Amino acid sequence: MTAFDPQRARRAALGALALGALVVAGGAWRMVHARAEATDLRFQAEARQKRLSEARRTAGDLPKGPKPAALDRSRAVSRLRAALGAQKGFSVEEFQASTEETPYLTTYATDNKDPGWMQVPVRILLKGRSAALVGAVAKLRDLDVPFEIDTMELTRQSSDNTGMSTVSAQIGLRVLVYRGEG
Amino acid sequence: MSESSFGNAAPKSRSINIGANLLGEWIEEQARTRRDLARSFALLGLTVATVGIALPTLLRGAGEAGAKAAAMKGRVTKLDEALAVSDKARKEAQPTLAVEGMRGRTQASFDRLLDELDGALRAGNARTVLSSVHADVQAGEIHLIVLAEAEEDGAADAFARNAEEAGASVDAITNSRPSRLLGPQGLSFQYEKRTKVSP
Repeated sequence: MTAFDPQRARRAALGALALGALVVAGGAWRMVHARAEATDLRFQAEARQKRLSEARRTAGDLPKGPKPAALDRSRAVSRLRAALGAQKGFSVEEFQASTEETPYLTTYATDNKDPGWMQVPVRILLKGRSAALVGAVAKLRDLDVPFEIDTMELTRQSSDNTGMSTVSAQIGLRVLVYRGEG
Repeated sequence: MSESSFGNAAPKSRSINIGANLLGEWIEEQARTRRDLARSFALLGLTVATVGIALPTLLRGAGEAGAKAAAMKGRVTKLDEALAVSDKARKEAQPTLAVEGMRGRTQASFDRLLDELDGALRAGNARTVLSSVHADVQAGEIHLIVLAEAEEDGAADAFARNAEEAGASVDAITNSRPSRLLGPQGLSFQYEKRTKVSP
């Protein structure tokens, strides 16, 4: 009789084989899982890197400096009034700003797609030499506050010996104030 | 050869044969057992060898992948922090961007209106005098009304020709009456034009 029972030896071998298979499968699963995680994280990192590069590329376009006057109703209206007052060659006969602030509704289009904006109606009466007055109105284009003119009427008041006309300009406009989309 | 009185082989020799058979079977069984054992040990050895070779490789691979994943996780965290800073700056700049965007559009509208006014002011000639120019914007349309004096019909028509614009829905002298302000053949007229803000 041998020292080893062949049946037990076979069972032990098969058991060891099963255990070995389990251990190898476990190791393989661990490696595959770790690799999958690494790959997933690599994709995540690449996507974030792309977003960051895009953000950095456009970061130079982001405006810096003080907050624009168009975020505050009083400042916005004051900016318009100051812009008119700073110019020569005509007089501001009347400047009337509404105390009401209503949601922005453009007259320049039939649809409105600008939530977060409000408007303040303003009426202005200017008087002066036609060239100076028209030039002054044109310079309002560079104002840092957005506005829309609804009506403008230039009326000739008088002419002098040199042929120069004195005109009045009645302007109805809306100063736009940004209140945010939140 | 010894025989019994019955003429058959003696039982002694038969017992020797049985012993030889049992020995043969025992030897064969021992050989089978050894083979079985050898197979079992071979299987065991193969298993141990396979595990011994494969497991370190797998564990090393898993360790390397894990280290790579940890490094990637760190990179993702750093990128998230950088993105948060960038998003914050963008969020803070959003109102300014909105104002700039709106300003661009209102400037375009302003230019459009001023073009219309300028066109009317430049349409005059030496035989006409403008009394007033009125521009009104409603529902995406600019309505221009010009009141003027002319020395004669031809001067008023020349004004209308100078002020005309392609695509205008209304573009004509809509009212006129005699006026001696600029001469005996003079007239006072109203020119009207309706154009879309965005053609």
